[in-house]
Amino acid sequence: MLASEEVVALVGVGILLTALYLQAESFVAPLIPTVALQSLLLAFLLGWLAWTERSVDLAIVAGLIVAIRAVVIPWVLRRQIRAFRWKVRELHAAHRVTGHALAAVALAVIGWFVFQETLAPAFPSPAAALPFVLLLQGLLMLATRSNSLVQVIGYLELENAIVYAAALFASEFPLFIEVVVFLDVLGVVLVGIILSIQRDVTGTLEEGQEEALSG
Amino acid sequence: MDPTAQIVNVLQALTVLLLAPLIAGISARAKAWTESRRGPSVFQPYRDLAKYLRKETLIPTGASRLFVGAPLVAFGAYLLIAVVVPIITPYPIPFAATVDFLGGGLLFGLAGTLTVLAALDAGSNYTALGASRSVSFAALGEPTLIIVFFAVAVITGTNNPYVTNNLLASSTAAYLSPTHLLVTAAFFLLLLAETGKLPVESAGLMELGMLEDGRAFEHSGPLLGITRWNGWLKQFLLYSVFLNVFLLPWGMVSTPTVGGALENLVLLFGKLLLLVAIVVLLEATIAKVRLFKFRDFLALSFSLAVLSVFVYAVLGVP
Amino acid sequence: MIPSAPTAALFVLLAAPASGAVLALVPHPRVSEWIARLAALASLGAALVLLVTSATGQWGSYLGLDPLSDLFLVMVTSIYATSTWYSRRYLRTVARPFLTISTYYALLASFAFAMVATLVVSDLGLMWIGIEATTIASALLVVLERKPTSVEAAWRYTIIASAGLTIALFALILLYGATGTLNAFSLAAHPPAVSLPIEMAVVLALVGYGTKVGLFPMHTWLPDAHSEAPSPVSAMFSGVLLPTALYAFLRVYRILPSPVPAAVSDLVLSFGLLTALVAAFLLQRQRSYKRLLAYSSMEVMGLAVAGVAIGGIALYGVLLLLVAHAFAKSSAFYCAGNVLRETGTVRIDEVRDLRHRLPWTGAAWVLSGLGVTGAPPFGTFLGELLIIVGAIATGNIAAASVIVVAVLVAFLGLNSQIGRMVFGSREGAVAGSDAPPASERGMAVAYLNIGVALVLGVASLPYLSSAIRAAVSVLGGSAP
Repeated sequence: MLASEEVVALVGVGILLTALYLQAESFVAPLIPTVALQSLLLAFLLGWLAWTERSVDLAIVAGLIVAIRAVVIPWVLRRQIRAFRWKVRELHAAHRVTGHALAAVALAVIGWFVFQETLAPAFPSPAAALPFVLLLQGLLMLATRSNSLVQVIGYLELENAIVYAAALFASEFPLFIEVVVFLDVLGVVLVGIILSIQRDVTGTLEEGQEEALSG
Repeated sequence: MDPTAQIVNVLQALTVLLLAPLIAGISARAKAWTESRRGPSVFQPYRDLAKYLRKETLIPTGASRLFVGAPLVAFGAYLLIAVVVPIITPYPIPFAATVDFLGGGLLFGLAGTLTVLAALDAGSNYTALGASRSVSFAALGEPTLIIVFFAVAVITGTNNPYVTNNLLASSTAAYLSPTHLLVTAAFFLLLLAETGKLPVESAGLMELGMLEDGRAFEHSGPLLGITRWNGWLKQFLLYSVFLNVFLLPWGMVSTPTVGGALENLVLLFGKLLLLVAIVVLLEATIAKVRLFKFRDFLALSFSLAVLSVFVYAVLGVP
Repeated sequence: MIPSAPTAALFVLLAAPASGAVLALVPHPRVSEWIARLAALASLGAALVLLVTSATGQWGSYLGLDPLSDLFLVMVTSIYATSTWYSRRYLRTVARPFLTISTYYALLASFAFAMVATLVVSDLGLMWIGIEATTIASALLVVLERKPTSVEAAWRYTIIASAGLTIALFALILLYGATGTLNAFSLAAHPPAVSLPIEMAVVLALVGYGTKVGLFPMHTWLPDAHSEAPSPVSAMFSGVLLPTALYAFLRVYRILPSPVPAAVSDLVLSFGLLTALVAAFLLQRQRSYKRLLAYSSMEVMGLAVAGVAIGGIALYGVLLLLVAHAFAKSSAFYCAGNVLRETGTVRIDEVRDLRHRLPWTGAAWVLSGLGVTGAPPFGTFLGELLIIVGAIATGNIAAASVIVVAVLVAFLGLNSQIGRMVFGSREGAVAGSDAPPASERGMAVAYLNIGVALVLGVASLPYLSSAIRAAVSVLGGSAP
């Protein structure tokens, strides 16, 4: 049987692979099951840690992640895709798949080096850099994409990184706070969806309007 | 000066040379079968070689000796690679010490570069097109190949493919490690790209991807035969390396006799048939990507390769 | 059992905006307005009670007050009250609102509730939740006028603020992993040994909460959100939200024992100075007066952050600056709302001669412009002066000169534009019809606020002055 650390490491690599896919894919529809898969992997990791550390809190958190981030939020997002079919692909991202994939990999390597230089003495576990790398991947997604649904998915990736970090670095993070954080994230996602609907309805900005928001 | 080892050495070289066209023929026949055609005989490549040897050689005006020499040097490079990587033995044969794995990768690069230079030397529009395309994609393909070899080195601590083969065959943990899985995936994608399979390029009469075929457009006669043979050798070598080092390193008999080598040869043939079946099935289910998306395909392969080394650094799991 | 005054006040403080948020959803606009106003006044009253009694202590494991939070509470609830009051006039001018009036007041109340909650909790995690909740509540408020630019601004605000706050949450996780607790009061009382995770946590909190405060280079949402939001909401952004985010950062910063490790304080100082400089210079290029005010807020926040890093007497200046600026900036935004209503344009070069068209508004605007940029005798002047003095006192002449430059540049930029708008003569390029003389009855709150800012400067309110002193001692600074 695999040692606990190896399981954690393997699941972490799986999460990282989903992050690479999220960054490289230019169609919007496949991103939703991918982020659901990422949440599921994270929940599996939390469940495994809950099993090895006999922690009920972690198990509850794992269940909540499955319920909220692997079921509810993808369902809501998928309804938005169906409602706005022409948002099915992000056009300028389609031309930049290579750049995005390479940027994701480069950022992963750089992020790992930064983590090693700053925080590694405090967290010697081999997979400790992965939450930080995932955080950077989420930020990269927010910075490089302009489709609002894709940015919401990038935000979800960010929050997954946070839960991952909490599981590895601060395993007794107060349950109450984590639950309310989840609800907060849900709130942000819902507000994001409302705004993205409005953004689609009112259309893209004209020339003069874009100027009003610059400078 | 062990005579058995020398015989096995020569046997390996002959295996590569003589079986490469057969694998290409089986591949073509299997693909035709998926398209509901009967397809050419599996021995057609041999007949093609014989035909080319009988034809006359035409050299474009303005082509230099490079045009004539490049296919021959490339052939020599492939032949050298053939005795360096594990094909029918899990232990190094006498010539295996010539170059290590990285050197093998560089030899692949040498052959490719010479072919491209010869294509440019020919002065034709088609060959120039093929050369420019293949070089622009090689910009992403070659680093992937190098990093794949680095990943191998990272797993075992040496650049010796035989050591890798033994390690992966004996240790399940090493085989199932994320580093190895990722690098196998990366190498598989690279394999599809380098040997010109879908979704990258569709070899055939209808498609003009002009990557592999384009470079050889101006050669004729025996030189064309050598060029075609180079293509088959490249495919055979990449397949064998993929199978014996990455995907299916098991089952090789390690007794240093000619009999053992022959057994391994039969085993290798079986593995190759399996890989051909996988590739043909993949080709039957997938569509060709547009040319400018080829770069994305290679970028994905590159990312997986870099990630495999990164994963090793992060996790420390060999 | 009769609860003590602070406990009762705390209860009212939390219950009033919360119930206001729920009750204001009644479909009838007038009823909703009055409920919202009552809730705001009740919370203001409760906050004043807390300030006067200098309430300190913890209630249970999640609520806690000390003089610093008392001071911020008064600031927050005052601006909340005046904004709620001003909203009635403003809402009448919006053509196709995205929200119904009831929803607007409910969201405004929940916005205020989130900020009040941030200020009364003792747990850093709950503080984070409060700040995140403010994003949710305010994003929809920004979209009120349903223009494409408003939607875009609201979207950018949501994404950037949420991403920044996620970094702050990462900081909290590091902190919890290193110390085992998130209770701000116990961490400040018994500071843990400085270790690398804690320093990293403070730095990440600077970046994360700094996004909400509007520090450079995470400020990109700030001008958009402020200029596209309705004026009362902009007033709350500038006067309340930014300082509350700074408060959350202050609680984290306080965990480091004094003297703060030089690397961290230098980083905080450079962020603050850079923000102030960039804002002061970007101020010059603005063509919309609301963006002008937004950059001025950014500059003040930069100065405040720099003052926090400088420490000592500068901390008194920081708090004075924050409170006075809140009142002055809200007054400025109310005037801006009036101007927008009457002229129909946000462009500076299309507004002229307010002195004759809207005399009361023009006068208030000049005063608030001076108040915001730190003219004597407003409270902001004293605050900025004390920060500069504090910088010189610690020997950091470079920082002091940077602050002086930023203050001067911002002063000149903002007031020249306002002066042009109020005193410049009409050259025919003025938008808005020649309607009958505009109503200026919404200006009462503007004058009230700018008066408070003025009074603060004179510092003749003993309660406020001593309250600031007590708050300063919480932060470890000294008072003049």
